[in-house]
Amino acid sequence: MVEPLKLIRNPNVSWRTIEGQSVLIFNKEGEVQVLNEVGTYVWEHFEEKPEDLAAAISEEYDVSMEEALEDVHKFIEQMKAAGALCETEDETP
Amino acid sequence: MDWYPEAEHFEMPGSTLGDHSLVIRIGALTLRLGGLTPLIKEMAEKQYSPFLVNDHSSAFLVTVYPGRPTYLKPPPPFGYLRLEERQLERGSLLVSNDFAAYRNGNTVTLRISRPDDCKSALGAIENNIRWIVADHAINHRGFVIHSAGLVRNGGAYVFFGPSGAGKSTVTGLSEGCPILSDDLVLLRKTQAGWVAATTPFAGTFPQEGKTSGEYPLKGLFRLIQADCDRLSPLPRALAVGKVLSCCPFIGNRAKRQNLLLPLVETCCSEIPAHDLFFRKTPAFWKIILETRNG
Repeated sequence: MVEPLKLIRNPNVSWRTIEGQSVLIFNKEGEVQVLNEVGTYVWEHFEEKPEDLAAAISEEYDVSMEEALEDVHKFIEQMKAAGALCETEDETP
Repeated sequence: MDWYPEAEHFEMPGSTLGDHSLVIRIGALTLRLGGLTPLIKEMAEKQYSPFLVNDHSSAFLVTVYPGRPTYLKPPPPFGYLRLEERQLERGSLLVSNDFAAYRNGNTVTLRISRPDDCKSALGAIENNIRWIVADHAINHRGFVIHSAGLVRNGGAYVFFGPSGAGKSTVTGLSEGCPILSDDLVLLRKTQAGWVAATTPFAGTFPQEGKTSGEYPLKGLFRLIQADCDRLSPLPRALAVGKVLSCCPFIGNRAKRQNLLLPLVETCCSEIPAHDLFFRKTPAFWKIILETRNG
């Protein structure tokens, strides 16, 4: 059976949350990204289930659950494409 | 083809280019440039005249030797200078098309491809000084930022932005203000607070008018050319992100980034940061000074 891949933060991305917004520096290029509040929330809690993240966002902001879930998936894909999140083999038993 | 030297290339570099030297001081950093020919020394003394000191207990030593005919493939005409940094086992490498430098601790071995071309040699030396100043600053609670630094009423105002943002323009519009640099300014935290220091790094304004010194930092301004003059406060995270984007030598060095991020955050929490929308007139100063005076 193929083990599911686990998502982790790229250790080569330096980051820090400042007044509710995360600032990320991508190691190789030195490119800097500043996330908005929602992006910061997902970035800080990405280990949680997308449905749980979407529910929290939907409750806090005036967006539907479907819309929030779509945005969470989209954001995680963007972070993967940028190299800020990467997939690794799940080592949990 | 690109050629990236290993540490061995610098271990037995042979004779230096010449036996002349000079010492300069930038902020808290003292740096000795050795192995110079009489002509390169003369030109370097002219270029760094406000920064020359008679201090032989130098923290950093850069020694110049002849190198290979080329290192990296030259950039296309009108292309950007290729400047790459690599971490080697016991030190770090800075390489371009016409020089390669190896730094181990406080010692830099600089090998240049065209020893007879003074302009090329001075360019190599300048890029090495930028590299050293940027790294030294981070290890001493400071950082360098692509910006124009100007002094007004005894305080330093730093206008930052990428190429074309208007650093030289605001410098030209600030008659009577001593210039720290119109290219790269050194900021560091001292016991008395943040200060901005003069650097020898010049964009389009000449060095001659500079006086080496440090001034209390009064504000950080991101330059945005517009058809009106106004200031808009930058939220702290955005200020940190924008300042970091203007810090050189940030790529490929996790250790440096991990030091730089909290340092820039501290600076942006202690020094007001604004977006400065400005026209090409000196009127922006009135708004800055009014805002500062409350």
